[in-house]
Amino acid sequence: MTEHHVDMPAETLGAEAGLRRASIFRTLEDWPILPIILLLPIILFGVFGPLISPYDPSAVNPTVALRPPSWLTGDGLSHLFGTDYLGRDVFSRVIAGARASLLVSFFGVGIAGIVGITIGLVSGYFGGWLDTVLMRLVDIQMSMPAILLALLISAALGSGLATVIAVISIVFWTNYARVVRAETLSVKSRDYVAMARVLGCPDARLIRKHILPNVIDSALVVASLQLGAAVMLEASLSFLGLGVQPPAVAWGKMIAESKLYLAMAWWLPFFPGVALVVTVLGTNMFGDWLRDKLDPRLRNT
Amino acid sequence: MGTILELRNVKRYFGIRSGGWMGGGGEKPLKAVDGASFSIASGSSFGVAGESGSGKSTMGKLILRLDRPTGGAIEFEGRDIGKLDAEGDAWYRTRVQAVFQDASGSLDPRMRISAIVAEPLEIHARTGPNRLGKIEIREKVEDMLAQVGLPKRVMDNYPHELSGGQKQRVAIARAMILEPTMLVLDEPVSALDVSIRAQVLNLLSDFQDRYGLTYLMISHDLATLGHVSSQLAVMYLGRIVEIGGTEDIYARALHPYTKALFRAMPLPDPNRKKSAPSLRGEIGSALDIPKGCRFCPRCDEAMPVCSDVDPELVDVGAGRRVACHLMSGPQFTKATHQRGSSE
Amino acid sequence: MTQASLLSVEDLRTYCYTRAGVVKAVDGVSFALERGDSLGLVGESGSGKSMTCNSILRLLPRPAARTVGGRVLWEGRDLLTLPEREMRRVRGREIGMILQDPLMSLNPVFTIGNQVGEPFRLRGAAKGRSDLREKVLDVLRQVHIPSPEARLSQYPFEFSGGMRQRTVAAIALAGSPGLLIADEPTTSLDVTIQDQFLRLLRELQEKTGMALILVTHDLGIVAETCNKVAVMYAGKIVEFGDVRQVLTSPSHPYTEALLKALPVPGTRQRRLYQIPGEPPNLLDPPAGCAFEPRCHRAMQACRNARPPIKKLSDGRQAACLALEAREVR
Repeated sequence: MTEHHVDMPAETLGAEAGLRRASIFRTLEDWPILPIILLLPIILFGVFGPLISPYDPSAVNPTVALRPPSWLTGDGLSHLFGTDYLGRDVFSRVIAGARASLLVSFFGVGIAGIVGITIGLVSGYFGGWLDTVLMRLVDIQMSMPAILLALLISAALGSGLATVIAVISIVFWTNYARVVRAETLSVKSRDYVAMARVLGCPDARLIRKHILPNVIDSALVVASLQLGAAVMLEASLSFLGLGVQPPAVAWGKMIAESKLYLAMAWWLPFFPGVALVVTVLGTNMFGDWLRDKLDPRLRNT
Repeated sequence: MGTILELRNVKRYFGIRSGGWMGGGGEKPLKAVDGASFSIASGSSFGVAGESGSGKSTMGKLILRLDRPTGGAIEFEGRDIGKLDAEGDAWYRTRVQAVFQDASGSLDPRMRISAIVAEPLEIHARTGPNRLGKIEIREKVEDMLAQVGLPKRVMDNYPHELSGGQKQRVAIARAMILEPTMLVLDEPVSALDVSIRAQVLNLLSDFQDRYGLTYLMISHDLATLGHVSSQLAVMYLGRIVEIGGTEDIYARALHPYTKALFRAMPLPDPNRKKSAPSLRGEIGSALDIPKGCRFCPRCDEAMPVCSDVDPELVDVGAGRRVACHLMSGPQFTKATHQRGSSE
Repeated sequence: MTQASLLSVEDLRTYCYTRAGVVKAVDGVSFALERGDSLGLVGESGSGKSMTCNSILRLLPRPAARTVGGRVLWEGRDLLTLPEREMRRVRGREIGMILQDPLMSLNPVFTIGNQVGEPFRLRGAAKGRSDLREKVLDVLRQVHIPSPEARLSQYPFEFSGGMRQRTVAAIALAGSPGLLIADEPTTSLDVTIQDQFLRLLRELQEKTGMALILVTHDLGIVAETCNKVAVMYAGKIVEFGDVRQVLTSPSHPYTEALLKALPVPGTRQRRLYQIPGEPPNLLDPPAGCAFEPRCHRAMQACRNARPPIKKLSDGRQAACLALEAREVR
């Protein structure tokens, strides 16, 4: 019998080491350190773009066209990310693109979120014919390709920043509406909602106090995924020429313009692409953190 | 003691489409509650027993106005609760409260205990002549938590941080804070461990003594109901099959279903001799209620009439009513006679 | 020990490693079972009763929980050191298991016939399709499924709760096990269906002579189904013995209090006897006896020392210092 106890202290030690490791993770859980590291430069670019930018992002200088990143050729810091076919500084343009990309994705996803969450809550909570009508609307919306919608909207509004935001809101609200409706249906059947009704809680308060806080998680997950998707959609729209118009700069547009020079100038799509990936990754990670933070059951006590 | 709650032939049918894809068939209702009548004396405890599918929880929902009856009427303190306006609804909500089985499910996971217990006051006492301020609400919440035996420090906790027994105490505190006159208790202790169960049952009986509360307790557990209630109704497939004083029913059950329930009840007495199997078969579907007595297919004492004529709930004396042909000799002969002549 | 028992659990220890610390879920549990025995393992949630069963069958949620000590001797072999391949033969064939929720134990996309036939197919016990069909029908009849021929091609959702649990029992019985472990098998069933199922278990035991471990929180179920009972509290067995003895004259204060706390049907006492407080937090258990803070017989000594489980003069075992003191007197 004693031989079975021999490995006991080792077991306990292992568990304690596990606990210590957990405390490092705990700091990471308390503060969204990684997402901040990823997103901070992008946000700074977006807000203080013109102050940071070493060159005017649309200043053409044919003498330095298609230069690779300067630190690769030993030219110091003159053109950190190289130059494009017109000799414009890629670094300055990535900084300038942050503003358009952030504006477009935050406003687009924000408007889509507000509309979608409201419709999802109303549809799920009240049900009946209202639910049927709203959900058919979602079905119709979802059966239309985003690009086709974008074409229609830009035909009506003309292309530009506002159009891109409008397209993103119209394309994305359906995801929120579906997810929030499904969650509302499940939360609605919980006992604490029945209890709130027994307490005489009016519908508006019930939705605001008991349903919304319990479905907002899923909406946030949708939002964090969509922020990335919005930047991508902005890129595709710009690629098709439906996005922001010159002299405004956007990452998607930069990638689109680089397609002719891909073979000889890898840095043209690379740096805006990296900015895109960093933004998407950062917002996704921030969304995960926020979700854990909002749920008291996952919070450390 | 006056009557506080009265149910008169209350029905709840759910319209369910049947008949398959070929059409036809039409609507065949699911009869969750099929004509329940009883009254509860103010300050007493009324128990409703039954298995799953008996309709006891649906009845609780009807009384709590979480659902509306499709027939009959429910009267509370003399007012028909089916005909309440907005003001009447607010009145009803402050008079009748509930405690459900699953305490973790009935507390909003996103709210702190203080907010959960304060919510009834936030809804009902923030406006009007008797409005309360933030500090008064907090004082009331503290007082109520003390009354249910919880320390002040749980106020800042979330439900998941409490044990099952503590959560059920929070649910009771929330139900009691508006000083209601009646509590609907739907399986309030069946999810709790035995050692905690007794604590919660004692707490409930203390509240009843202190405030003269009326209890309507719904449960599948006859031992708990027998401890709590003075009147008992046994439900089967949407119908009350036996109703009367709890002690009388325990002393001598009359309906074969009630007898079977008692036989099936496990008792911690190793010397008890187990007689014949309690009951064969399983409870039927409320969608497809058999002709005649709905208990007939499982009944050991069934007679030929039972599969033909639906027995009525008849008075058998001493305040007891039973729906069984064994109990109603004259009625049953009359019924068969009428039946025979009409065919 | 004179003769090797069918199952002998010796000083079993299973710990759970959580972020908040180590929980000694099963903390030195010992008991023995003979053929035909039925043991009721009683306790409140978190007392370690299910964990004990899962440790015996090595079905622990790894790596969160691990058995760190003790022996589980099944017909002389230590199950804790058996290679996984041989363990798989033991599970299902030599020791069957029934869990609380029958809907979770049955696969919704396969027919009843298919699922009950699975253990026979795995063992290669059936010669051809018709033989398999006969064997499946035979076990379904054993658990009293009405018109089993018609049921073979049905799916779990077409069965009621009671029928599903019978089907689970049929699958467990297909291997003709020498021991059946049933973990709260009737908690999701109605009283009358529970009664039918417990009768079925007793009948099967009488017919096959298999041993039974019935995990439950209900002393009434134990009284009706078992001949031995082990009462668990905070990971330890606090009282073990013959059902008649333990339930009619409990010796451990916890067993005594549990029985007193039950409402007695038909007698309407105003207040029930209540055990004060709540079960201990196993992350930070009391230094002495785990029940001491709630115990009506607690002495000074109980606060410092954990009482070992000891055989009493009447043959049963209990872990209580107050009791030892009384026995000596």
